[in-house]
Amino acid sequence: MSQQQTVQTILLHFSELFLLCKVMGIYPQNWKVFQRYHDLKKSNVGVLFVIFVMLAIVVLYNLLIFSFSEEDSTLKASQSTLTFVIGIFLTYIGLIMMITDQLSAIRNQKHLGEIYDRIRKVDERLYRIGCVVNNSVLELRIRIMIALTFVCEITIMIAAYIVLLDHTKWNSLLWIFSCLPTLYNSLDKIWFSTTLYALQQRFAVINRALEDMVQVHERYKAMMAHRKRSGSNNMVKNKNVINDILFDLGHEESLKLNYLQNELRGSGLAGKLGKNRVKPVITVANSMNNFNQFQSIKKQPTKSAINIHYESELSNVSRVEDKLNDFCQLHDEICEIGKKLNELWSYSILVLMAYGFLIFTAQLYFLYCATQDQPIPSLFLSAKNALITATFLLYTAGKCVYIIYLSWRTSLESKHTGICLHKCGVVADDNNLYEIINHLSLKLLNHSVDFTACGFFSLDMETLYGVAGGITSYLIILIQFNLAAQQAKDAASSHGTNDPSQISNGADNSSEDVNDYSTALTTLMTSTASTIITASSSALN
Amino acid sequence: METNKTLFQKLDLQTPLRIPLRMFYVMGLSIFDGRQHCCTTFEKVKRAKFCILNIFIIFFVIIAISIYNYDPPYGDNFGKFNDKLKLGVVIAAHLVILCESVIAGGYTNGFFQIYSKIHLKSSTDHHWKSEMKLYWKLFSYLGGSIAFILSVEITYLMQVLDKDDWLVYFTSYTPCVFICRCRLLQFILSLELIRVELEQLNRELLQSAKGTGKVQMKFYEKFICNVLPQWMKRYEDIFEMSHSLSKSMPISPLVVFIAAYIKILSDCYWAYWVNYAKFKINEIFECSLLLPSVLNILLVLVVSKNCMRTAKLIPQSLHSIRHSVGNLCLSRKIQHFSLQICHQQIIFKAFGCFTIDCYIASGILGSIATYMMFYIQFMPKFNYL
Repeated sequence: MSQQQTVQTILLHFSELFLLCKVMGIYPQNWKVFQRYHDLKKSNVGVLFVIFVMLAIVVLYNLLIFSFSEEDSTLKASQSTLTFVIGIFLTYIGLIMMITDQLSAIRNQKHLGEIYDRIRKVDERLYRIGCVVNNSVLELRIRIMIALTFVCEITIMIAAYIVLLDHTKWNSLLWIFSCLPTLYNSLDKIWFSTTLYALQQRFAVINRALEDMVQVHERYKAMMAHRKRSGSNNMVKNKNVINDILFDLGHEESLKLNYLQNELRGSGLAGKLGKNRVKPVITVANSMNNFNQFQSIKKQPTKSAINIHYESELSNVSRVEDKLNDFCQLHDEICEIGKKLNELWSYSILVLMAYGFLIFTAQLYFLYCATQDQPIPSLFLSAKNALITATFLLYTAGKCVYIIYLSWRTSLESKHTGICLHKCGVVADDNNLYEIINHLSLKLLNHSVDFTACGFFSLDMETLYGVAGGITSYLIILIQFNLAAQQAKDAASSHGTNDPSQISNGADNSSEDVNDYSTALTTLMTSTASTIITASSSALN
Repeated sequence: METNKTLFQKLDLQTPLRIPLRMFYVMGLSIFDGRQHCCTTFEKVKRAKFCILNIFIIFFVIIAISIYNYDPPYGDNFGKFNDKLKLGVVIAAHLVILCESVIAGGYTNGFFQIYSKIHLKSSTDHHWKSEMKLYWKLFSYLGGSIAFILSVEITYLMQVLDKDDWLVYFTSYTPCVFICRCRLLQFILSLELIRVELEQLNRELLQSAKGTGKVQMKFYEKFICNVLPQWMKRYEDIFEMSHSLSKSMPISPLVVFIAAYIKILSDCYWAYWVNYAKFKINEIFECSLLLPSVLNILLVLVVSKNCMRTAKLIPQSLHSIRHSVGNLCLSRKIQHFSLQICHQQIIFKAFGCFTIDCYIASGILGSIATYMMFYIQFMPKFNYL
């Protein structure tokens, strides 16, 4: 592998995504520098191109809105004020999202390169300790996400064009531009989420290294205890030791150990690719209780490949101190990178979450309107078909949920390091080590990475749960307003009085509507109260 | 026979504990039947046979429902929507549970392995009376819940026996609901096991802490200093248990909670509806359908709260250990244990969405009240007909 010589930047795996982003005008960085050195460098021409693309899309999108606005005039006339207002309110939100992404890309263009440089440095240090991160997963993830994005966007766009639009009019071709803002946003978010995943991977590598140390020491301890006992009397009486070892190894595994050992020797002690695997090997002689060999094999070129029998890092305090310190510093650095990453994308994530919440609610509301044969704004005409709506909702929700989920997982993974560190302390049971670990543990308690959307709310599952509750409540409120308006209209038409608009206006002010308002108010109060309760409970915890 | 015996020695679970595990295994809720862990894929597939049975049940239900065209009385479309929502969510929850129990089944095995490991160590000084108390508690929780659920549902079934469409609809979703509730019972079982271990650890800690006030200082401090690492290890194992519990049931608590929530809402709606439309059924029975879900959820919340509260007692007991200022060794160890508890917190969350404790009960009650207001507002549509 190429990682044997030097640690390469993870940007190596971003090349396809960068090419796509560059061509479409999302990121302004210099393409040639990227191609040659895999580095993100500031480029003024790129900035101009991004701004040009942005303006072009704004113009085309407006053209689309104006060409479709004729149909909306009928909507205005048909008294569905609420639907009309929601439509107007949400017309530009997709565009705003795209503009935010592009502007923050221009703002970030200098800092983005720094982040990847820092990640590369972290990788180098990890490599020096003996942990190598498998970066090829990133490329796979990017490819899958790009494919999913394009499939979803194109399916929604083409399906809506074929099923719902008038093919005879030339201006219905403008519909193509309706998918551009969300596409741009998705590509930007793929970039963000892949970087976030890379950070999560680094946390996981640290945790795994710590856990490996614990496991090795556990076996080492069991072996030492066993040796002591068998030294004093040859008969092995203590079954606990064997039980402990069997616990770790599993019943079947212990029978295969001879084979395992041969294989390890045969393969030139290569160990597992790129990972700090320490493999204890136990030969099983005639009886199961004769564990006479214990080897730990390290894949580190500077040190000897085989550490001779009965060796565990945790028993050597001075050496392990350095290593634990290194791990904690790396953890700290990754946390800092995470915070920086979050800061760079803070505005665009905030806008994305707002977009997700509003569009999800609106689309469901329009779906309801469409099932009741009411007119809906032309920009949301995909709501006329339940299948297209389902795809659209899945796509939008998937984007938001994935980012929230990933942030939550990364945060959890960073908190897991403390847990692993204490496992080391417990298993080693050494006075000096306790001191070191206490110190580092306090350090880790203060170094937690929590992702927020511009500081407004944290990106974790609790927020997602709250948002899901909010969407349901607002949807029900909207449907109730719609029902009230519909009933008023029906009453007006059944009475057959002179001007339906006057009647409906009158009915709007009737007690029924007051009831609606009061209900909405109670909901708002209750939901606020419950949010406060949840927030306070989480704060208490 | 000989091999079987050795395997049992390794995973030493008491017979009273093996009965519920076997029961959950037969229901398809886990691929772990209280015996030795299986290693080959073939065995794993073999263990999942009851899960596959369950999937057939679901398909049968879906087909039965799709064939049977259910028409709500008085053209109540909202009621129909309610019923469909309930059915869909319950079936989805059942499917999620099945997938989860097959995919994350290994963690259940890990849970009981750690449990038997701790239990073996602690049971030497463990009185058999407390053991019996635990089993009695478990039995009353699980058996009582199941008996209560069955009795309520059978009474309701007798009531609607002459109404064909009600009967078909009720019998279609009830098995799925039952499985969902058993999933929560499974959760309760594990929580209770964790709680008992925590309590035992806390008791030992507290005893030693009391001793520090009486016995001669130096000798006793040395004793505690030697015994503290064992306690740390025990706590770590208990934490591992809670970790593997949440890994073995990552999303099903959340899904089951949501399904129960929707079911309660829908049942509330129908209870109101039966009263409102003066339908020929005793409203008490319609209301009685609410009880099992409510009790089921409350039980989980209370048990989980107790478990987490016991975990919070441990640092208190730890810090009540008195020691002389000069004893750095002991103070380091106590500090380490304290920090360890800070990091390895025993908290149960439903997929990170909310902590499973009594706080959310108020939230659930509030939101059910709110939604019922909406529902009642939606309902009077058929009043005009």
